[in-house]
Amino acid sequence: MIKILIIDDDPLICKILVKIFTRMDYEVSYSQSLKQGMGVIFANQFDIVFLDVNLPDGNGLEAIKVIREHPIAPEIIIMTGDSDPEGAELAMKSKAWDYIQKSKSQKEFKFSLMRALEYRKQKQTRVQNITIDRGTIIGESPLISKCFEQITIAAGNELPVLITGETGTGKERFSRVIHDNSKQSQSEFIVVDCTVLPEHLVESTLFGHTKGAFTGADFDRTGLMKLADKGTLFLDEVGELPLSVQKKFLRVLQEKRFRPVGSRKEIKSDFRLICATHRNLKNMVKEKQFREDLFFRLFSMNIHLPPLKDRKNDIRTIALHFLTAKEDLKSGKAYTISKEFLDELQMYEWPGNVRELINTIDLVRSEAINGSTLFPHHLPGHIRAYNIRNKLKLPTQNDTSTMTLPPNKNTGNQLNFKDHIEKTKYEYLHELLADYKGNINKACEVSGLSKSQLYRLIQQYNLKGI
Amino acid sequence: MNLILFIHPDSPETGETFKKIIMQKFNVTEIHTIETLNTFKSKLKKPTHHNNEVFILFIDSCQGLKELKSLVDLLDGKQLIMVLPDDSKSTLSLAHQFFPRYFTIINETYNDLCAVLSKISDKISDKISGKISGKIKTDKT
Repeated sequence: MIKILIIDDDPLICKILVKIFTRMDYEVSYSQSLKQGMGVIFANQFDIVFLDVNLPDGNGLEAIKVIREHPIAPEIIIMTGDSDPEGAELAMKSKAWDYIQKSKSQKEFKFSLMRALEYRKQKQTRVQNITIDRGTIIGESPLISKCFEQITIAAGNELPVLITGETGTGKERFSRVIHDNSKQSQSEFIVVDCTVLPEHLVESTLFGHTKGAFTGADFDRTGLMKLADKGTLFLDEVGELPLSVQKKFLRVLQEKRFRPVGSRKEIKSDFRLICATHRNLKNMVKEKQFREDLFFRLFSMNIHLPPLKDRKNDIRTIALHFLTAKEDLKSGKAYTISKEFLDELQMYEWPGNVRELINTIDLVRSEAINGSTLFPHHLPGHIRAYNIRNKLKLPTQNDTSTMTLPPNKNTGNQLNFKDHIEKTKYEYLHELLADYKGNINKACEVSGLSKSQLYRLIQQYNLKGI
Repeated sequence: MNLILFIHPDSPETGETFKKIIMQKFNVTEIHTIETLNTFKSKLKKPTHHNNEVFILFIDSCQGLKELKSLVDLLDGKQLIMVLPDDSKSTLSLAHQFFPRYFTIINETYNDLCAVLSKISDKISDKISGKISGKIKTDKT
């Protein structure tokens, strides 16, 4: 069902538009403030938003950019009471679908709506008609689905792509998917890890060099840009490229030719460029660490990969996929997975994102016995400790209808037996180390633990620094 | 940094030269040498929670490189450096299926590879000491 939202502080306008669009068999809602409207947009999925410009708590034109950050952004039709050419221009620059005066007829409102819906339908059909091979990328959450839509578009053109995201979010994997589904798929996918190249090697690695071109050039080397001809060149952590190389690299992007270090002859290479970074290139441009002209060249198409904690629904899917896939690849073990195990995975924040999750799954598999059920206790200690600390921070629920113990007893503990033991261990160790100011010898003497035992527990419960 | 050096069984002499150079330049206790494919596979299958392992594949024949193709999936996601027999198109095309972070050709000094390893070592040390985070810095202006 088509869903429409009206954001206008005038109740009469809202009432009229609701009536018109409801008669067209659409589902219509309205909000009378910008804040309320934004909340409703991000909590739901609308197809069209009619947005007033002058709202009591803000300007609708300024909200367009924010609304477009929704994973499945609605088409926006700006409404205004006055004729405002500057406002209309700003609305169009901000990619609003249309701009309509409230004094226009019902017919014109309907026409604007129908055109926006037609465009939206075509857009969705175009994306659905192109099926891409996702490779090993797993996920169905709205944020990652939007990334797949962008990949579909990227695979269909030859524009440079800049993939941004935290470490471990899968930037290289996404790059490979673009390559594998593009015209370049029959040629090479060349990886350039800019973080491992010392500055003096960057140019020769990318452009190539002739023997003797510089000290240490013991042999001729074909540059990676030449190897990527007709294929894809993937620059990982492009922000690490030295400024001197950025200038030369920009020229190659523009002219598709370059000269290897020490050579007099120019060679051609026509490659598709995909870059990735976890750094904020815009800030680097401001700080003169990255060339602005190169930045604009790379930013033709930006795909931002969300951190795993922002797509928690995918954690289970990813974990189950790798628990199944790896067993075919490796040892042929089979497991049952408990609900509590998956709950623990879902609770953790995964600062290392998907890579950390996959590494954890590998570790769990290696330690679990063939045919066993995976429980939370199979997880690494630091994950369990983190989750327990978070559980302890949550307010306890005192259900007075079932309370039978005297009021001066602490009945708020909802932990199961194993978690209670973990909590007790954690509190004991924390207190022990705090009381003796981290003095390991004293702590061992008092607790009766050996040094190796104590160090292992410090590691397990992430108690370094106390 | 932990170096895991796989020297293809068909490369004993050239591999030994390479190993000596690496051992001279890097802390010997951090280098683990493997010379059989099965042992290497076992090592790759063993999971680790650390990102401080660097795998170096030393192969001095194209045939040897083809034999290692079965390891591509096991090497996925690992920091991989390759030492290749030559830079012919076929060899390089095969090598890139492993998605190496860096590769070089068998030579006498391996200065370039050692420079890369030094940089990786510095990067790992910085990460451990907390100087590098993988988070995107947001523009607060």
